[in-house]
Amino acid sequence: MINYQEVLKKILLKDEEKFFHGLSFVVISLIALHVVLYFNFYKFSSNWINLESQKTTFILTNNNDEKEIPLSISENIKDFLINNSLIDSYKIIDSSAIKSTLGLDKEDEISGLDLPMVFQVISSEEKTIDSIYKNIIDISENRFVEKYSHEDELFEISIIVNRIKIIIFIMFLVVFTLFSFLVMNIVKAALVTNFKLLEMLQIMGASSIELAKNISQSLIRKILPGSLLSLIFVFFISVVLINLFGANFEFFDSSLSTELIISSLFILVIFLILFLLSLLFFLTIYLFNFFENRFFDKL
Amino acid sequence: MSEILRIENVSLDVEKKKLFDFSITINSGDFFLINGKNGVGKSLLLKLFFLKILPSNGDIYLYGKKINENKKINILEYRKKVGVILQNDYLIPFFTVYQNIEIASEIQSKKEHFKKRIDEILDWLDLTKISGEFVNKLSNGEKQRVVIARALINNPQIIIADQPENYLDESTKKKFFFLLESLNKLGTTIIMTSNCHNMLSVNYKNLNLGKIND
Repeated sequence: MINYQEVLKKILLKDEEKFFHGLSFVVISLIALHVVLYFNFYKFSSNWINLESQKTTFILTNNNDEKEIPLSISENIKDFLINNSLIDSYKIIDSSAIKSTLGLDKEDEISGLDLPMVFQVISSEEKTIDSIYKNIIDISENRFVEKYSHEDELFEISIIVNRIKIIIFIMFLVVFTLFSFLVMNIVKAALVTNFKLLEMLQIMGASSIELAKNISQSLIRKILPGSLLSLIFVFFISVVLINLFGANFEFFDSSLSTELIISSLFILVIFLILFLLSLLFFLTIYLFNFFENRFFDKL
Repeated sequence: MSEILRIENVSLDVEKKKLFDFSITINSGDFFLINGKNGVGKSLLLKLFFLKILPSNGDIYLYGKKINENKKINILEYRKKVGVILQNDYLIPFFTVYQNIEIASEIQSKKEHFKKRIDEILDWLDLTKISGEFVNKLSNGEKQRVVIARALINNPQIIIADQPENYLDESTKKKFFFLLESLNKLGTTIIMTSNCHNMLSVNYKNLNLGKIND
């Protein structure tokens, strides 16, 4: 026995099958890429902002008669930072790194350049930072100490990050809407072309919901191979992007990379299921409406 | 004889023109022949009988129950009981003869019936040899026989036919009209338009559209 759905599969989009596979691959890849970028960027930026906001930079300026902070004081500060259990981590910015950043690599010791001691402390507790500040003043024997919380400077960055997220989301919506619109129009064109055949099915007693369900299921099956291929493709792209971005960030470690890759795969699978289900739902509603409007001929 | 369809004071408004305006009751076992010149609306009236159109005015009762466009379930059940013979361009061209007939059983969920009837129908309409052929490769006469086979496969309670003799040769026409008469004697209701009423030996009722429209 032939299957009723097979009939509709052959009636509709028979010649356009390869085109449909290609189209679904390209467009779903594009949409999935937006999804994976959105969620990875979300996770990426949240991690970065969270970590950055816990940082405080201390700048210890040397006295007028000093070329740099005396070794005994800098060693005491190091000891203090190592032994302080309230500090999550710290980093002393090497004077050569400062020179390098300023493009002064070739300046020698006899140049008139006075370099401060710069170090960063990571702690989410404000009280800890205040206590460190007081202690550093004591250890530095009342030298001039400045402290800058990175959290204050992150406000504008977080605004930009949110704007980027919104742009990615809007682009996702635009591509999704265009794809849905395109699919609807292709389906409508195919239905109108074959309407005499479909009308005969209606005359024989096929209900609108039965036709709508069968046609939309046939269409989803046509989209499925392209979308599965796009899932693999986008997953591969996201792995490359995660590793590419990760290499440029110091905080990035391999466990986070693995976590991001697994979560990307999870997000992609969930996205594909939801995407296909919502497309199936909208197509069924659209086709049901199409057939219901043509259940009776208009005079 | 039980009532199938009752049409009361029905008329159609087509392009600002009022068509028909008539009442009729169709019972099981009735044989109606619709007459009238070209363009009087015979095909339109047939559409009304298989409920593809609803009247602009008047009421239609299906098995005694008044129907309107909201009672689609009842209409679908009725459509499943009707075998419709229209022009042969309503066939699925890239399906075989067998598949085109099979689809009717598929839609009307009468697969068991199909198995019992298919060989008989194919044989009777001389379609056995070409049952595996694609419809788009058939002649008009062969296509018309497929349309007839598809309409009859589910042993319908009502047969509605729009000039079913089109493209058929004389011997097939005789066989077909004989079959219609036999089915009618067994209780099947038949409503048709035809130019070959002289081939009918059964007592049929004339529905003259020229008079109705006047």
